Amino acid sequence: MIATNRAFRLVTLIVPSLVAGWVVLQAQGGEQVIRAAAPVLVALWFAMLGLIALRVRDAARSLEAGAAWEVLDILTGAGRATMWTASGAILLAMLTGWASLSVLGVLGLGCVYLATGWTALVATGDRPWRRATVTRAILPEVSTEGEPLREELRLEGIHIPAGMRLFATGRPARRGVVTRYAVGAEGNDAEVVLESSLGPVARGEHRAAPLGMWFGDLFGLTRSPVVYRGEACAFTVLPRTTAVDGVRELLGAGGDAATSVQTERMPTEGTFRIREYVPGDDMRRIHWVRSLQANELVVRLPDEIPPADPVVRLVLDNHLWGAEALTCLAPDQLFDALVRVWLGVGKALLATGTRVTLVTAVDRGTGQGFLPMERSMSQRAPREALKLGARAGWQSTFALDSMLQTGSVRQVVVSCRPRPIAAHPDLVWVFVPEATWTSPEPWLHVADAIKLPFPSGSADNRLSRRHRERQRVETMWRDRMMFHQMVWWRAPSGAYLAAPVQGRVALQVIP
Amino acid sequence: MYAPPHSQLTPKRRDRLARPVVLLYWLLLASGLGLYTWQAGNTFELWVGAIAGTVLGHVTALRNLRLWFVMVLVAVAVYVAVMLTPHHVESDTLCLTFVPAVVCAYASLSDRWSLAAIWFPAVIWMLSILDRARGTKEVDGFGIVLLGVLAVGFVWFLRVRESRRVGIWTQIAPTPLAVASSSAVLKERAGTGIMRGGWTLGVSALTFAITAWIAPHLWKLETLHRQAQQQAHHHAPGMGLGLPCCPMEDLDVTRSRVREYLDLGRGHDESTPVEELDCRACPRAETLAEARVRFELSLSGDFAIIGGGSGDGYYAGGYGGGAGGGGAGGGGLDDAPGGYDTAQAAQSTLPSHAPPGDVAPSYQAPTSPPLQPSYEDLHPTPRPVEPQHVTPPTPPTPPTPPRVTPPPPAPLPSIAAPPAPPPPPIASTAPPAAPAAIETRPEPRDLGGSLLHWLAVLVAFGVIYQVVSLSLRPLRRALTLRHLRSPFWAETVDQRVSNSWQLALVGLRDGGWRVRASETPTELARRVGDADLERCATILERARYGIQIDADDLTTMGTAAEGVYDAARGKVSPTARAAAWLRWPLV
Repeated sequence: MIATNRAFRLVTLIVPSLVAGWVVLQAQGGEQVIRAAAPVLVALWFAMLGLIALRVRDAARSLEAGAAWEVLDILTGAGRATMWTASGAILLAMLTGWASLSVLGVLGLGCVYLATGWTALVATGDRPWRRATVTRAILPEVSTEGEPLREELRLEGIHIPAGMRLFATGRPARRGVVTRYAVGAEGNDAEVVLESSLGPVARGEHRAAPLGMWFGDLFGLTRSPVVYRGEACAFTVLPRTTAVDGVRELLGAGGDAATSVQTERMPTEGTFRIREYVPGDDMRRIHWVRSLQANELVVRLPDEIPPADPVVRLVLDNHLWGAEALTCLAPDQLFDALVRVWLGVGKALLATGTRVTLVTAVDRGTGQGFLPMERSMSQRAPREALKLGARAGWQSTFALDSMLQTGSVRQVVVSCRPRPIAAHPDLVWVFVPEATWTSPEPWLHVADAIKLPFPSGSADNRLSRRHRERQRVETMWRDRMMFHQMVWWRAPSGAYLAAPVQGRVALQVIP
Repeated sequence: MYAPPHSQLTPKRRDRLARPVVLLYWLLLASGLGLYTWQAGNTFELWVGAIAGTVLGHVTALRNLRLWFVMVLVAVAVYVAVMLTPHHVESDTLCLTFVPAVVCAYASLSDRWSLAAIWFPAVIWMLSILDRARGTKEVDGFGIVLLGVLAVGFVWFLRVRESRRVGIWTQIAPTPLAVASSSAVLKERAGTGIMRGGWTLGVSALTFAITAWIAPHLWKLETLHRQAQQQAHHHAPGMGLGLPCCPMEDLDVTRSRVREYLDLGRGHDESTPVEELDCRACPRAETLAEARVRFELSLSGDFAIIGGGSGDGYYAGGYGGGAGGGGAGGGGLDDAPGGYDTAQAAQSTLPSHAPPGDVAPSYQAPTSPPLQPSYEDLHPTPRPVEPQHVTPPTPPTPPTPPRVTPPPPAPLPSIAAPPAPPPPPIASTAPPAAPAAIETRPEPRDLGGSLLHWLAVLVAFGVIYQVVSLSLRPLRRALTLRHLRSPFWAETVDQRVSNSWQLALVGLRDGGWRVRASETPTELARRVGDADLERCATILERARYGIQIDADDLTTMGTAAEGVYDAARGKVSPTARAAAWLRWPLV
């Protein structure tokens, strides 16, 4: 399809001109036309082709694959339409004899020839980029999920030829917003600062892809090949933790006064917590002195420790084969929820006095791909845990088994697809269901039969682009269905379901 | 079925982007219409169709309606227009104007059809341009100017359309777009504006030259054959009364013009020269008997038909004024080569009429004076002959002649040998006659000269204004700099510190440095990296925040600002320094 479109664009450089030339030669009084008009058009056409050929030769020497084709692909959609329309106008002018059509045809062809020749002469090749410096920054470099970010682009020394405009576009974050810039000739060899508001960006350690940059003429008829500049831009969006209720149940039975185990302490030790007497309390625990002082019965509470283990390995199950290649939004949304619950549970457990070790597989950026990583969670250094959460992502390398530990240590697994693992029957599962934590993909809206989907004049109204967009949305939905199958789950009884409740997460046991 | 667009394009912003395109389109259209109206007169249908169509096209485009729906609206509108159009309005012209006006106006705001969009304004402009061509492919100077204006208008149209497209591109897409918050040029290359202006002028001139050179060669002449010309042929009545009457004969007149979509153009007439023969112009193509009766009646005075009185006379010798106009054959124009003047034509073609001062016939009615009107009454001005007059009417029944013995026929006034030097009424040698009845449209006014004159005056005025304005800029700058360095009137210390800072900024601007709105003087000084500027910034901020200024701060500020000014200007080329004297505003 791409090759076909490119072939059509290349054909546009030649065929309309040949049609126009043939029509001119067939015109009545052809001798006069040939003597006066044809040489000009032919000379312009040859000049245009000659300049393009020179640039193609230069591009071919650069040994970049496809560079020559990029140079040849010089006409924009408007340029191609103008070329064909002009050719058609000359043809119609010869058929109907209407003078306005001949003027239109000559105007159109002349403008396209001039614009193409000028673009090939001044905007193609590496000359405009020789002294160019493109610096890109996403600010702030480290932020928290939900905070707005901005992109700052600094251009220096780019030679923007007269009559041309510089275009730049890029996507700083995967599935994030797209930035688009246009700089006129005032930015020629200048120092220009461009800023865009990116809004909230999804959690993660992002590395912005280079910006695609090209020149387009002021008439919108031609463009230069795209070059990619502005790389080496990394930024981090830390996850935002969520308060989780009911984590004590993860630690097993106990944890309240009714079932606590009294500590063995000396009479002078202990916290000596007291509270009002309620019917049913052991009479032996009445604190008589305090009761006399307060003029009501007060009981002492026993010093206790929770029956749960003091150390919990909190594992984030991020193994899902092929999830990173899916185009739908749900995998990222679900993983963000997993991380939020994972860190929220850890934080809540930490608040209960439990030592928490975070476990997951992350890409350490060493080129070795994903590797398991354990990190103790500490209330004094919560940022380390957040950074670990920012680095985590779907991976296909390490299965959950390889991240679990055998032994008596209690392990809590936060996962979107709890399943029984024979080697670890005592796992505690916190289930984050896909249906609850993801939103639908963009809907396929029924096109309005009367109104255009985009404002009149937008290139996105073109049939080819609409078809492409439709294919994109359909692919997202297909991936969504696949993802839905991938996260199929069979939660064991006693697993905990993480449900969003008024901005918090409530853990509910599955009966 | 598509995903909804992610748009930052509010209706207000959308209209603001479309405004230049719409305005330029209307400017091209209205100027074309106005020009043609001035040139051709009544163009009511053209105006109505063009304005209504363009309004509909732009409104539907701005409402993002699809083309098929617009075409349905057009069809309905055309139907209603045909049904409701008054009889005196040409519905054909109205519809032929309305439909392309809608489509082209719609296309002017669409994505790629800029060339198609400009077609309708081009058609309107071509009416005026082709009018200047007078049926040939050669455009006169004024036509060339119009063609050039059209070409430049098209170039500007492309440019504003592309600006709108870029605006839309940065603000709407199927995927979410970032909001562009700001852009600032911190340091620019001096003299960039000159390059931009030169490029614009160059492209406009090239487009103009190519169009004016090539396009006329692609025009096609069309010929219109009309039977309206009366031509003499050899039809001797054998009366022995001199040259034969020129009988009525239709002649194919060829009218040529450059073809155009709207059938409103006027052309240039040409007729095929015929073989040379001699004849005399008679009142209608009368037979010999009719001539005899007519002669006798004229003698009796009861029925004085004077040639031309009925308007049926014809003459093929004139040019351009309508042959046959005026019954006495006074169709020739004075300026036509070989043509008659009216009086001479009358004298030579009316056997019974004597021009003033001539000798009257010998026979007079005994009882009543002859009813011959005066020459002036009969021939006030030559007038064109209507087409229906080609068919001779039934001659009136002649009254009974009076019983008088007719004398021997007196020698008729010779018409073959007129006394005056004017050329004889030889039709064949006359240049092609103008159509008398084929065209009722007015000939194009010769307003090219006057309009060109006024345009030249306007252009000259504009150029002079610009030249004077530009030439005053250096003076203005010199005065301003002089005041910044040393005030013309007494000013406070704070103000003088500010003046020095302004002087430094002027020098920095000459060197290409631009100040961001949110940038403090210290930040600017740090960016520029000039020690003098940092000194200036320090003193300025102290003055701004009311911190005490030392005694020599003012002197230091002035010296440092002067140093910044000189240093910044010293880094640019002499051309850029010279161009800076023409820049306004200074900062």
